[in-house]
Amino acid sequence: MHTRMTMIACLVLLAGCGGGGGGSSSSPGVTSAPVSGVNVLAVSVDGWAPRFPNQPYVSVTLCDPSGGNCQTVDHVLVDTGSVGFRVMASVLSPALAAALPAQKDSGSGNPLAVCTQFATGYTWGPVRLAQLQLGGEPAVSTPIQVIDDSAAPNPGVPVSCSNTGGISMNGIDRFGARATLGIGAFRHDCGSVCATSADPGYYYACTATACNPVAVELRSQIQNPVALQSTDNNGVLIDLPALPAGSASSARGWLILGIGTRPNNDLGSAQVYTLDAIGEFSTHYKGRTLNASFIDSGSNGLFFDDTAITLCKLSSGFYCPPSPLQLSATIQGRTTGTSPPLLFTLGNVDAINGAALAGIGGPFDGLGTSFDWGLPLFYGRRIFTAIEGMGAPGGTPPYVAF
Amino acid sequence: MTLFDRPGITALAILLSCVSFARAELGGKVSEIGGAAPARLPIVRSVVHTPLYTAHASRTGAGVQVVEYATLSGTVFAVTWKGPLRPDLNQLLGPYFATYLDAAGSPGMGRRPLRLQRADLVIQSGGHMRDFSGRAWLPALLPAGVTPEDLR
Repeated sequence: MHTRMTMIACLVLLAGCGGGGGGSSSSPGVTSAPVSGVNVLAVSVDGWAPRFPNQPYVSVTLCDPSGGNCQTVDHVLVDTGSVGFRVMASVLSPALAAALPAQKDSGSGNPLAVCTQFATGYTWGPVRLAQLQLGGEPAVSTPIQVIDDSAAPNPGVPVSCSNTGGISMNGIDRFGARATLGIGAFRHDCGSVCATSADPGYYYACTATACNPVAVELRSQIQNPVALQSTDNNGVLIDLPALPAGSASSARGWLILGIGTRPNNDLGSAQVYTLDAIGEFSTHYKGRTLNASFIDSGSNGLFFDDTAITLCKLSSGFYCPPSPLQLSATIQGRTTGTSPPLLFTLGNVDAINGAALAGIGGPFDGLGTSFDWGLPLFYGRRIFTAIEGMGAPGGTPPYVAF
Repeated sequence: MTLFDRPGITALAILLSCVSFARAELGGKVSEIGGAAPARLPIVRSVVHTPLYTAHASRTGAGVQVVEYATLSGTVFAVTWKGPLRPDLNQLLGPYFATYLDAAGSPGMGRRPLRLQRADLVIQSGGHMRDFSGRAWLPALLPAGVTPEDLR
């Protein structure tokens, strides 16, 4: 990473950079114990996308609504921080792309498009109907987003979408994945807000010349595909190996569908932490209570505000303590569940190499009330995410447990 | 709304009104508020007066809370937002929106919150699906006695 960031600095500054290096080399790959079953997908944190460490990928099979033109898409980001399947148009075969019908606005009959907001920016593209097969489970039919689809009758990104800020993440290089599998704790992506409000910035109905903000009923919104399955549908378990050296050239584990539905996804003695209606709980850190905290496998680090920690010179938006910094925080579920102190060590991001990094973090830029527990939390843990409205052992979803 | 929960402010005069207005922008004058209501008009508005600044809060139909902080002479020195969607940041940041996009678009690393930290301008934005928040301020215009921690 140091080398890569140095190169970027060289490109920007065109002067002043010597050789890179200086970073510690990462240890070989690590792997979780074998798990098998129709509800299991292999997860790989393999550093596939430059600039995106700590990204867990799976492969999924995408077909048209009749089950034809199937295609396996690799390097699909596993994202518990969002809901719904979103795929880059450039990944799809021409036959499959042509066979995915538009999801229509129930009012106007015009095709729907979506401006999906992420922390870093937004993706824009049409909502289409598809079949999605996860592991060996039966395929489910669901609306998905096709990102950056130049063939869609969409007259470009609406100004009210790009005005939501951040960068356009349309494109594999900007997105760091070919697709994302949003399997957070909710059944729909936007939910009741978009069912009742047509405020600009999320769903749009498009004519040949303009896309206009529109409210979309829940059943037509982009769905959590796990919740649509007939079995193993109440949540997911992500099982990633520990990183004994703090970093690894790769980490391989499992995405297991369902909670307590099979021997391989038993909740066991995991502590349940309940979530509120927006997927949040509280984190106690250095005497502060951060009540808008969340767990997100799609965040590449641990993000929280601490002005005492040195910011990186090269890796913008990350912490670079001069020596490894041992810290701890406690999670408190919204209504139930209190964790023991969760220990973590922050390293110098400018000097770390590896696809899988246990100790990277940075400031959380918002109102200073959040702790974003990204992928580093997942290493060496089995973390369950239970979906709202579905029955699950150990508590009432939505919840996370580990 | 956390704004009203803070000691020292609740004791001050709080004026509530529900009037149509167009948002001011960072660096602009709150006195420019007025005129025809745009489509994304916030539907509730409240104004909190403190000895150091005034805070103009509004809430969109989608439930996005926006607060604009103005100096006593009426210049918007900070804005904050929180809600299920990001608001129109072009409207909220005004001339600083382009600067923000330039900074956000430069090669960076990772899926993470976004920030722009300059001596004359700070913009911070983060969140996840169903909850986004952020703030922006002009350090040179922060009234004496007001810190970024007050902006939430």
